[in-house]
Amino acid sequence: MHNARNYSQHRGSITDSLSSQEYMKWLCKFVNRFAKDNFRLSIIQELPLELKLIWTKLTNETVDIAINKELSIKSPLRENYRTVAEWLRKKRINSRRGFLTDDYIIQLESNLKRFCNFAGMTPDELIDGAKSGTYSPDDDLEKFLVDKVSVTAFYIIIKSFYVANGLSIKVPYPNYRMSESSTKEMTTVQLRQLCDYSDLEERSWILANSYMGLSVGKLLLLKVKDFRTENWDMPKNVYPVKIRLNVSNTFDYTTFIGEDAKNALKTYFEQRNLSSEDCPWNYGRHMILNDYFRRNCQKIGIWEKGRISPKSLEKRLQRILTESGMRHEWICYLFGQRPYIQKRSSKIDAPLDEELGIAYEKAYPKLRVYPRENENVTL
Amino acid sequence: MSFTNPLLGMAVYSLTNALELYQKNEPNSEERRRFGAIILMDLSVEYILKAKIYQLDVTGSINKQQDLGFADVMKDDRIVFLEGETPVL
Repeated sequence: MHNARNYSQHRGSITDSLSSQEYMKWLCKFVNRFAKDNFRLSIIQELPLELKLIWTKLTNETVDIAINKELSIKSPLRENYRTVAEWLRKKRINSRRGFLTDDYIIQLESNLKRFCNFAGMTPDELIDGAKSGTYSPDDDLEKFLVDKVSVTAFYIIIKSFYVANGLSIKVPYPNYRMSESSTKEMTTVQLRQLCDYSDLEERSWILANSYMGLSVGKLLLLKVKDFRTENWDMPKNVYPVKIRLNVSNTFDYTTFIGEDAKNALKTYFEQRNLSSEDCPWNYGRHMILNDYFRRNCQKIGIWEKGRISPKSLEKRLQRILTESGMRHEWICYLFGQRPYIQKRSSKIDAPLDEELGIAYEKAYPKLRVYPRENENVTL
Repeated sequence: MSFTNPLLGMAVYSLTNALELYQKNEPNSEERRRFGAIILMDLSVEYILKAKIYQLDVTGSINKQQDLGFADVMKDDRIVFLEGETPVL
């Protein structure tokens, strides 16, 4: 090897006896074993996805074992490990509705499994090791969280696993890693231009979402009955909408739409003859809403790649609500940020629907896109 | 990727690059890729052995870092190759 390097560094030829393929096979096996034995490091976990396959070929590991490392961990965890069963039992009891959704259990198990793979131990071994003092999760957990994007989710899940089994972890609560958002706020003038250009169907969701600030995915889950159309005959500035979120449980909360959005929705619902159980904009794929939005923005000349998107509506809403004096916690709560949703379930600091309604009323003059007839509004 | 042992990070980095060069399939550059991959393979072995020496003696290995070459780490008697791990050459 030393010779090989010297030859190549001096632009000499590599001797035929040195086959790079043979050397590569040896290297991969050697580094793999050496790193495991000496540093408890699984090399495959450090490789980018496109190289994992060639690594498995060279080290003779099977792809499944190498990528998922499920050799020693039996799925589902809840049926094979007493500590996981106990953890889920306690979580179920503590949940407001007395049950956990399947999606949530899968998420819990998958995050725990990733930590188990990282530590190289099964869930039972993690707890037994910590109880007998032979293994402390703290160092591993800190390293594990380093390159994770959703640090908080992993931290909360792993911590709750330890706590449910009568242990605690010392690693401090990690800070949120906020990525710099490149989304640009859409101005009211631009929004009005966009609505003027769009057809009734597109205008209805754009206007409604300029008040609700939902992601396109959540928007598609709404049904006509969520808009409480029975209240629409009363002349008001804002009208309630029921939103349903699935986090660990199902959370219902109320948000509001303005009068101009209500008018557009009403016309759209009537034109399409939608029943209360219909999803008004469900095309099956949320990308289509995004595509229409992009296309219309391009047509009226306000499109900026990566900066203007349906998220721009949320930015505008967030700023206007803040300027109108709505409490920060309420805004977080409206945008479905997890800590505040949890608070709502425990009835701490959760705004009442009426309080939110009043705050929306206050923000309405700035939020509305179209002024009422015979009304002069400077945008 | 984050390692408390910086030399281990270097070893993984070299290995990743070696694998990338090794699996690339571009015409007219096979020989160059083979050279490149071999250099990076060597570097990877060198650094993973250095990482072990660093793990055994942090201060000592930092002082010696300048003088340690590929041959030195291969010959370091604190590292013993197991059966089947004997280098190919």
